[in-house]
Amino acid sequence: MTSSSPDVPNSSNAAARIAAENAHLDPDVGLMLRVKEDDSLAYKQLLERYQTRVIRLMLSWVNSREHAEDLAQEVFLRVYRSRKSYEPTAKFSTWLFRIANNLGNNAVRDRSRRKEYQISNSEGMSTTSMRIENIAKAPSGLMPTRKLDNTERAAMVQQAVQALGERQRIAMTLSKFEGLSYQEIAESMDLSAKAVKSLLSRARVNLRALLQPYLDQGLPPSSVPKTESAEDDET
Amino acid sequence: MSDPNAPIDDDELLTSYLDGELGEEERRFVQHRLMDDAALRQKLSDLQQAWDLLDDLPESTSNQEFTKSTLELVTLGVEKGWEAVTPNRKPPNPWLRGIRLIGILLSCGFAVGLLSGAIVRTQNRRDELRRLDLVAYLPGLKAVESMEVIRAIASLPDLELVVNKNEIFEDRVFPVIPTDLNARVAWVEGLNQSQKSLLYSHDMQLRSMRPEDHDQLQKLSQEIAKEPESHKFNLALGVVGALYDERANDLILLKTNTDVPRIDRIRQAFYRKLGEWYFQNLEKRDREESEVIRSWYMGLFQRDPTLAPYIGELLRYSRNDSMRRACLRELLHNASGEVRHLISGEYVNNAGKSCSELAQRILFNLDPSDRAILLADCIDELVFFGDLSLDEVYQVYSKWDREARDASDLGSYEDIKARVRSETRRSRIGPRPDRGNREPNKQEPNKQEPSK
Repeated sequence: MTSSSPDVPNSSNAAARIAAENAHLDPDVGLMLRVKEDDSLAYKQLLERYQTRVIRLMLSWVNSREHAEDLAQEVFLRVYRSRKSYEPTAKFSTWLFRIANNLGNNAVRDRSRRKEYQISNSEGMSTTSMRIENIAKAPSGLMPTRKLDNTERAAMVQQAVQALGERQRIAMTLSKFEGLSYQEIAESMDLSAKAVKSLLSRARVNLRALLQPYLDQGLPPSSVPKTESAEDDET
Repeated sequence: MSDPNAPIDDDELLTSYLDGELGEEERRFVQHRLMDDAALRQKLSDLQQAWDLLDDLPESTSNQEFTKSTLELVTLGVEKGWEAVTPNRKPPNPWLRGIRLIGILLSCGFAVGLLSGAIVRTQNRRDELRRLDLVAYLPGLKAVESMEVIRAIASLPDLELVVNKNEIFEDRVFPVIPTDLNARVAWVEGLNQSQKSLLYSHDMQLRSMRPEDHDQLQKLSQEIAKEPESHKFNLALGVVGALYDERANDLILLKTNTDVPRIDRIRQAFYRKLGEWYFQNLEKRDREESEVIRSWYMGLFQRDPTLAPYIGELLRYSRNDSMRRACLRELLHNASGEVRHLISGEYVNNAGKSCSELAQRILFNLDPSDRAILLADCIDELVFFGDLSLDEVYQVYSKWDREARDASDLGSYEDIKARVRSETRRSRIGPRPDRGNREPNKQEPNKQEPSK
């Protein structure tokens, strides 16, 4: 996807001729085209359809639910503000997630800048700073003879996900929960499809390694390979 | 494949295969390799299993407040200009401001963010803060069943040393929570991420609990709060909770606290109190303790075979090793195939996977023939349902072998292993059984004692 703005992807005029076709294939494109015509009801529909998905994606960037909701709100504000320049060159979700990822990236960058002035603190959790050690200290994996109930398992998986690198986590979210193809993820994240392939591969391998002690119920944390905590992309 | 001679990253190849991102030729290539390569098949299974676990993550639900406030922001932006409505910079309405204020106050990460969100949004924040005792000490409360055992543990000297001395310990056990509500806010704020996650997990457990169970725990928590020295009771709850979570790991937690003075004495006292408490309850039913234990265990099986996995937990507190062995042996010999399967498949197998001391003891105290039966079932289970290869399973059991206190007890281990291998191969010929709906163990294990 081409973009005329760093924040809001736009399309070239050449793509306009396929707008009607896209609107037909993707009903959300149709809704967004109605938003473009200041249809507030269509905007509300898009908001309702995508809010949980955008919040989930933003939770891949930031840990705090409140922060994720703030960012998601900003995403939808930008969608509204850029409605007049919207051109349907791809699936609506790809376009929306690209906005979301740009915002998430900015938020993490801002946070990193602020951190330079803060005292290093292991408890100041960045999205990538929750290490396997923390997972090892989580409650239920400590009890090999007890079956994990669903909520505990969810908490465990959540922590493992948080221990992934940011880009792995985002690619994972877009692939697993949004069902986007590698090419669509690449467009949403401004990466090459090859980079996405690599990210998803490492996300799977790392997730497996992070959850291994709990799947096996009893391996000591030290035997678990560390995930690549630093940013793991090849871009 | 664009370049068949190029080095292939199996992880990437398998990921692309699982994601349906391979072309027809590449897909066939992978399928062909999978047919020939057991390790690759295992890796494929591993990668898919990890991915499938993501389905356990909770679903977010649509939030009307989010929709409403976003629409308000849009309206405000249209009316007053967009710079005024950037959510990150200046929340324009009290709802957003309130959320952020509390969020900052609690300094919570994602996990505890959900908890604090619940605290804020229910508009019963004070009530939620009052519930912190219940949430924080949940494992202890679930474990104790009565005030008596907590009272006994709370009377132990030096209990506070166990709670506050070591960081690892603190990560799992909450220190005594202040009673003042404002202080409780600060307490939440001061938690580390691991503790926040723990708190969140407890809260999730409470919310999914049956109302009657929830009420019972709440009642117990309230009773403790009324005690003159309730802080000691809370300390005891924290320790019980930690031990409860750690028991099958053979109290790694306490063992890591080697710098705590008199730790062994504390631990022994704890077990003595807990064991005494259990058996006092047993003795109330029958003065002949051995008969009580025997009938009690057997009765439990007869009432509900699914309770079998929990028998072992109680065996831990037995004061009499010979009685424990006798009970277990009797159970194994008399139990139906289904119960036998539950014992091995559900309890010993799970414990065995972590090489817990308890599992070892149970196995080592069995007759060799019984052990062979258990091993056969364990290995069958591990290979079918676990992630371990046969070799890895044997490594697990070899570890038991090396660590055996009485090596002579495992003199026939190699024979057992050979027998187990034979049993396992035989059982693998049949279709893979469904874990959730297994038939009773129709293939009665051969009780013939292996040659030594």
